[in-house]
Amino acid sequence: MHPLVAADAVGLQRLLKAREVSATEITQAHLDRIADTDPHVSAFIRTLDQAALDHARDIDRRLSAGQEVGALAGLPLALKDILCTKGVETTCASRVLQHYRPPYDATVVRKLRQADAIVVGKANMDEFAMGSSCENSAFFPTRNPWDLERVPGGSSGGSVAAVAANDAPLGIGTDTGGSVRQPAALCGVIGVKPTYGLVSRFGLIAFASSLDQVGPIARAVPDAALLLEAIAGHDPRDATSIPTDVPDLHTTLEAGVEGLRVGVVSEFMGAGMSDGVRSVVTAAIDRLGALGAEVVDVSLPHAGYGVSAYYLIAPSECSSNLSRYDGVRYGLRVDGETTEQMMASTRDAGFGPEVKRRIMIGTYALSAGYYDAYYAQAQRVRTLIIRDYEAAYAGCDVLASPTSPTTAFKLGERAADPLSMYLSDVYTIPSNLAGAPALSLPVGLDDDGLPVGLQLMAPVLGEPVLFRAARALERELAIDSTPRGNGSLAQVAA
Amino acid sequence: MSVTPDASRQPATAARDSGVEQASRFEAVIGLEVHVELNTATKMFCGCAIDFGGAPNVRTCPVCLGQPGSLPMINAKAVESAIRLG
Amino acid sequence: MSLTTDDVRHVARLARIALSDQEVEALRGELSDILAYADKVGEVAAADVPPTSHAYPLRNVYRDDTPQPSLPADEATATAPQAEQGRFRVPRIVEEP
Repeated sequence: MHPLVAADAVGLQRLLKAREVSATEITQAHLDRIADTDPHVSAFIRTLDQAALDHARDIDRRLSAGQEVGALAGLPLALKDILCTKGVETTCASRVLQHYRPPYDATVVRKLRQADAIVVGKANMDEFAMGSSCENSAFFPTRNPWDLERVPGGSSGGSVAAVAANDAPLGIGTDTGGSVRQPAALCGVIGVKPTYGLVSRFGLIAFASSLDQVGPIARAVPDAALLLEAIAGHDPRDATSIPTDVPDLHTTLEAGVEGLRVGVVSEFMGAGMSDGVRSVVTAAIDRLGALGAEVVDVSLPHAGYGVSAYYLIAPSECSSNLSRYDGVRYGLRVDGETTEQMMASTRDAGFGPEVKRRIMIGTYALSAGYYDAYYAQAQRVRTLIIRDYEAAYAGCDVLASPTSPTTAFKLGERAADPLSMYLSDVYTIPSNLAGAPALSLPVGLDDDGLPVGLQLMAPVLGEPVLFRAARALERELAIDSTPRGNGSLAQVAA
Repeated sequence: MSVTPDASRQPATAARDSGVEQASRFEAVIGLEVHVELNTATKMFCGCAIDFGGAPNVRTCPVCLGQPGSLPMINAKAVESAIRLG
Repeated sequence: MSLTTDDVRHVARLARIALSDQEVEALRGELSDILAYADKVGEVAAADVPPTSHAYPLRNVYRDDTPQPSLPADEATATAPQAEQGRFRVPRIVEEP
């Protein structure tokens, strides 16, 4: 592997600032890596080689002229294909948007460009971010670099697999019910779901508006912190954007966990988890204790109702958000004799099975006579879950649990059973319902040699302590994040 | 406006009544639906200007076209005017 | 919770999706299973628990009434599957008299 693609983002920045490498060299090394790996992993729907090289040359020109460059200068980044890029196809991995070129940039995309990040490609995902395996992409599934017969998780599986495959040190995903954290756990990288409202949703193609949040993906905690600082901040174009300063993650990043109280969520350590996940996660939590954290058990009594509430709230909001795809103003159109027939045929042809399933659930849950029993009741459960977290944080600084009940599963293994797929997100969904930040950190391998993720959670706007705890454990464990072993990418791409 | 026949005043021999007599048996219930155009400079949910007489679709943006990913932002002046109107 | 195929067709009509017969039959079972699982929300949270629509409460978020640039004329309909003379083309909506 080329040393530039093995390096983390902070390391690359050091080399670039010292003028030991150019942004063009960094970018070319990563584009070459993508050419080697992507035939096996299929992380990208579209690579942006020319635009990436043009941007890199511009950064090099400015560096030579002694001009300012952004905070992410020269760092390759995989962008989930759910964020609008002006004039560049943004598909949401859906046939309905297969040729859609947005007339504007998402706020996050604008910030990434201002920070001089190099967007090397638009990454694959479950269609409209609905799924936990990347198998719901309308185009092709993405594969897990640790075992190419297994899924990378989802929905941000493409961005995560790209970072795990060393195609880019940084990735951007979105997390509505675990869509950054669960694939990060399954691919052995770091994935963060920030506080709801910390990162603008303007230009993020909506799935469930009260839950969607953009999050960073990286192979090192300081890299993820760097990326989050670059994309966070108030946006006057998003009414749910929190009017607060960008969080300072770096000041306390290396402060360690001594004196922190870490609550282990009892409800997330029970049945349903694989033995491998249990033993690796338990060992990681013990190491936090050895580092000086006080580890206690806490209870989130209503967390078990999170999946039920989520599968009413998210589809309800989805059915409303996706009503816009009617074949009139953008996207696919299938002709029909009347306008209504045209719209109904367009939507039948344009959406895949999982998207239709969720639109149907949401339409039903919001239809006359069912609103109170379903959507309103789910929102009451949401209140109970928020109260559970408040009670837990009265005595804890951060909470800990597994990210996912299992390691990566085989392609096709859960495709026929929607409910079993939904339960992949049982530990991640409550944080979305509470709007609170959480991240997944790789903490070891199970007996099959597959990565296990530890989920750390913090109160709303508690990102500094969340990153601090993750960094302490990362330093202690010194995990090698390079995919290896039987069936892995290492066997087919050097 | 809706006109509801008052059943208690309905005679058995309605066909012989004059127009005036018929009208007198109805009670008029009048509701007014008033549409007021607010004098805002921009649309309700986006910053596109409100000007009349342009070519089709020239005062449009990703928000009012409902482009994927766009988000509405409510016009403060419109809310204020609506509150003033009661 | 068990849905009939008529229920599924009714919801599909509301959602404007022209489902095939096979899709209707598959969704009947899948939606019944998912809704049965979702029904668990009824086991907790009495009516006195207030619903939460957004986790971070922000109120009265408005925009100044100041005009911003609109899209250039040729960009407004550039994404349309069918456009004509700066307009979005759709099948006839109003019947001939």
